[in-house]
Amino acid sequence: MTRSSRLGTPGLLLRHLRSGALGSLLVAVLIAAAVLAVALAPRAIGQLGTRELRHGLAQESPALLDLTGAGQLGIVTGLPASASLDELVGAGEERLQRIPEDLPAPLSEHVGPTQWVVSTTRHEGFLPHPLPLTFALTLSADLRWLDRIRFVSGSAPVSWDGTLGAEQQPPIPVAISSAAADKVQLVVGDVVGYGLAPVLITGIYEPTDPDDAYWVHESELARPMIVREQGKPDDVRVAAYVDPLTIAALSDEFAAGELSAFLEVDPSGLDYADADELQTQVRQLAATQLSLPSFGSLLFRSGLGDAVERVVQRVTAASALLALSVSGLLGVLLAVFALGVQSVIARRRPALALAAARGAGALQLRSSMVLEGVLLSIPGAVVAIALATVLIPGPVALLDVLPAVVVAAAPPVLFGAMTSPRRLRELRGDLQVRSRHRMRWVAEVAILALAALSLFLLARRGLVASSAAVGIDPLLSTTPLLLATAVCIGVLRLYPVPLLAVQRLLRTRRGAAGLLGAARAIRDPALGFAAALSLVVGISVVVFSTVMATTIRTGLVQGAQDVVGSDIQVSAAHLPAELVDRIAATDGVRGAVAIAQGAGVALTADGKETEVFVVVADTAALHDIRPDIPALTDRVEGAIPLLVSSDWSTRITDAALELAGRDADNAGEIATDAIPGATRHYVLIDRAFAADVGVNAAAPDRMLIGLEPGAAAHDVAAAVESAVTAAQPAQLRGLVVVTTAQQILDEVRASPTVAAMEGALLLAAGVSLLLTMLTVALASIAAATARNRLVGVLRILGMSPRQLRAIQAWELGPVAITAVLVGTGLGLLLPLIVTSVLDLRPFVGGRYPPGPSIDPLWVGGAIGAFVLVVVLAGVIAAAFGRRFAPAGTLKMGEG
Amino acid sequence: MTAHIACADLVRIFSAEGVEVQALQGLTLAVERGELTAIVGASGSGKSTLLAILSGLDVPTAGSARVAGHDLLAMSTRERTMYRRRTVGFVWQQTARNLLPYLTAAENIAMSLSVARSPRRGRAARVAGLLELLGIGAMRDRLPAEMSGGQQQRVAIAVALANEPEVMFADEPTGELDEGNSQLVFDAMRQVNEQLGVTVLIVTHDQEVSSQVRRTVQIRDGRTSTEVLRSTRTDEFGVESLHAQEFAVLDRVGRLQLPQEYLTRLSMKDRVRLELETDHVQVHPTEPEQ
Repeated sequence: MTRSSRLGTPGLLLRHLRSGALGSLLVAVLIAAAVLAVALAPRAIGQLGTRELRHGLAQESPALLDLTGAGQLGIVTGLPASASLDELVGAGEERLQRIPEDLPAPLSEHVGPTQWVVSTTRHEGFLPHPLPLTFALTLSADLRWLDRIRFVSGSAPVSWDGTLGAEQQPPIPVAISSAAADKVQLVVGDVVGYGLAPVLITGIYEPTDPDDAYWVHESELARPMIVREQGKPDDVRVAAYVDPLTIAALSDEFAAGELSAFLEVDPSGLDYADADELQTQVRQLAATQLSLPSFGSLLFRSGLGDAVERVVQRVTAASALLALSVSGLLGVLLAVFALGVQSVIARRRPALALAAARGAGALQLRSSMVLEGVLLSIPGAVVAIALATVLIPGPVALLDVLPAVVVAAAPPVLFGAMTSPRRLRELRGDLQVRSRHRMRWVAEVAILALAALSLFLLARRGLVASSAAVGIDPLLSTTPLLLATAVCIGVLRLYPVPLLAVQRLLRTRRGAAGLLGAARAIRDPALGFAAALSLVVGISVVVFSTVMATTIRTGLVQGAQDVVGSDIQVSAAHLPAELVDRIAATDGVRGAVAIAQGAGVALTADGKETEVFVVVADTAALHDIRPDIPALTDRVEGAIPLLVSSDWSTRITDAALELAGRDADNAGEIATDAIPGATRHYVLIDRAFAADVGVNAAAPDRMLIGLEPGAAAHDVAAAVESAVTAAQPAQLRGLVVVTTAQQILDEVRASPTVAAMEGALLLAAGVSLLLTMLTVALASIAAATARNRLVGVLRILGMSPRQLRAIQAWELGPVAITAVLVGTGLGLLLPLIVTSVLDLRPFVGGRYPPGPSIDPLWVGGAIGAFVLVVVLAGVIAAAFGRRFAPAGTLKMGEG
Repeated sequence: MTAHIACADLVRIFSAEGVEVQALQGLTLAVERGELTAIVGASGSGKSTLLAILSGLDVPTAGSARVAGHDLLAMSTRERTMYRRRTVGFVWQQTARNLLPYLTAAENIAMSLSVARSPRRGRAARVAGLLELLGIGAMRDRLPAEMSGGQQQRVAIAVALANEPEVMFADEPTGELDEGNSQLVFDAMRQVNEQLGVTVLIVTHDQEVSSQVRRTVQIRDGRTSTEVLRSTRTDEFGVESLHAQEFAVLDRVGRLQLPQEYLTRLSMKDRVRLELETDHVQVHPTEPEQ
């Protein structure tokens, strides 16, 4: 075959670089992958904040988020009845409409126009047909009312032409909602007695857009508000529209009444970067009272600040955890990186040694390696960075790209730095058991000191509410990696010791394979520091991810249950005892407990008397489904045992109390939010003692249901809902609410942070396994030449294939076993450190900070997968290495 | 005339954990310019170490070594690089250490030229000239794997000569070759020595090679022990005959090594008795003490 020889330097370099292209390609792919990972991480974390903010705020109700204002509208009084709207409220309207423009950015970019309603005070109303309820009415005026409603019967009321205080007054024309009309059985044409003047129903309307936030804020205009109390008739409150011009005649009433305004907040365009500013602006808004013309005033408040703060806490906790996983993975990546760089240099060493022997200077050698580094890393890095920008769209910040650029620039620099003519002669590493390099000692001691320092700092800091952390906490992110490196250093220094003992033992036995394998493992290990570190950190990442995933899952489940109170919570008006028993006997239900409440019961403690709520339930059954609440069925020395809610339990020092005149014993405290429906200042007693303290246990309004393990929550909930609804009287059917912990869990798991967290942990474990495989493969291939030479000699000496395989296994075995042991320990220790330093509650919910939950099955599976991967990689690499070793590798004498 | 290669009391000690090896124990050697000298010795005698030192790849522990005016103990890194580039050429026993497997013969030579930064324009002529000189012009565009052992070693010689060195060292160049190829390679070396005037130092086991050089130096236990000088004499009938004369080498202070067989034949050890005669010295074994 003819080929043309190139005599020029560039041509020669090209030939040199093209040889061994496959190995170089592998390293190039590795470098590109590393750059991609480093470029994706900051973008993903930055995006996470914005997505979580938008998702989290979208879940909140408008009543919480919108800027809601209450105050009084300044109405110009003393104007004649024929005054125009503009004269009456024009100035006020103009001022109100200016509010959004006056708001600072970024708040102003996400609010809608001011919407407002002015109402009179509430007065009792007298229905034409008496009903068993009390009726109260408010008159409201909204300049834009006609756009919001459509009339189902009747027509819009006109303005009132009467005068207050006059003897004979025409009725005030109003329009009421159809829901209100149904409740109080009014039709068009009915006249309702009212304090100011009689009221005539001229129209009945329905909202054109029932989902509009307006109807959340002005709820009484959409449907009646019904207040129910035990033993009293329902109290129905209704708001009715009047024509805005009616304000002229009722100006005093409206001026003394209430102005309710709101600006709708649209969270869908928010950026996480604005979170802090938004909170500050909302706080400032709530602190400033706005004055309106004609002595009006308005004060805004909003739950937006708190909602944003909750999201920020969640995102910070999640980012800290994400950064942790990423840092561990980065450690493995860097170790594999180093291995890849080493492998390229090792492959080039013979050629470089030859060139050096022919008189190549250090500069020439280094430049050729730097050139190779540039060719390997730059094209891949450019593609990787572009891919990262495409995969996660968004603005490209310099700070985000910088780490990726550093990683991309590392190989050329490393190649140049690690090429020194002095190191080109292959030194025999097997002459000494322990290395004597001074630099290595210094570096190891430095890393050990750093690891100890960071652990100490972390321990001293203790559990930190995550909002104090700024973005990604560097201490928390680097400590695990430092710890892993320190442990690895210790292991590598110490691990010859047991091996030496093993070798001594094997020396006394027959058979050469074990002795030879042990000796090679001590003196000439195939896996050096980088490979061992990669294995240790790799398995610790896998175990850590597994444990954290189960911890988070357990925490989420616990958090959902804390919110709901048990697996299923039912809230209904009518929960008779036989319904509760029937449900307790349903398939899949472990227990059902009804909870009743009584208010205003006197409790005497420390000589002082207060009124408390008394929560009553069958505590034995409750303890069954809520093991955290003890059973209170037995009297304590004749006194009724009770639990005090923790919001005020610290103020009671007495153990002996009096409840409604009966002796009671303070059996402990219960978390304030432990029982749904009981919000504050309550005590819990068993149902048996309810009658003694005068509380009616026969009218519970909530039921807690515990499920059998493995029961399908949704199916059981559906069955329960239909059973409960069927047991309700017709008019109370709409009040049945069934909440399942599973439902809440599913909602929480759909949020971006939780999804990202679980995804990141899974990804970290998977990528770790992959990188481990790569490590073992690279290290094994690098050791192939020496191994093949040895195998050649041994075969001539007469070793059987089985013994040869044993020797190959000894290459990988000791380091792998040590790595598995040490890495598993590390992987189990780290979640302990993390959960004691990072409060995961903003992230998973729940009452108490979750501790690590270790599922032996999952952890065992993870370790098994790791071992399998290592063995597989070793076998494949050994086979691979054998293929490339020419038969003539074996040379007698100098090799 | 100062020798082209001059070693005096050269010492090289290798030490590792608990193990110390004295490869050279005070070796003295002088080679004139243009000489073709063979160095023989048993394995472990220190010959490869000597070559490594003389070619600038290793640094001696003590003693002095000068090659072509360069003091090998006192060279800076830069000087050493220049020395390896321009003053010496080296041929190893294994092809893998002489030639890059992915470059053709011409490219291997060009690599050597490229390392020395010689201008592009003259390279083709130089490559062609060297290949012609060694009789392997046809190998120009072949990879090492496509050549026989003898051809590979001759390419190696061409690579070593690329930058016109003053001295060429060869470490067992025919060690892996059969008789025919060995002869070819050796002939090439002799041609190089005669035509280009390059001083050649060959380390070899091969009796055939050492019998064809004028001077053979034997190394034993890290020192030069004997030398053999060969010459051809033509007697009055015009018949050429080969004469070989073996000499023991005296170092600076007058020590010499007696050949092993002398020692065993006369059971000489520890102390010997010397007697000075008018034109020779006698060495007598001593009786073992009663």
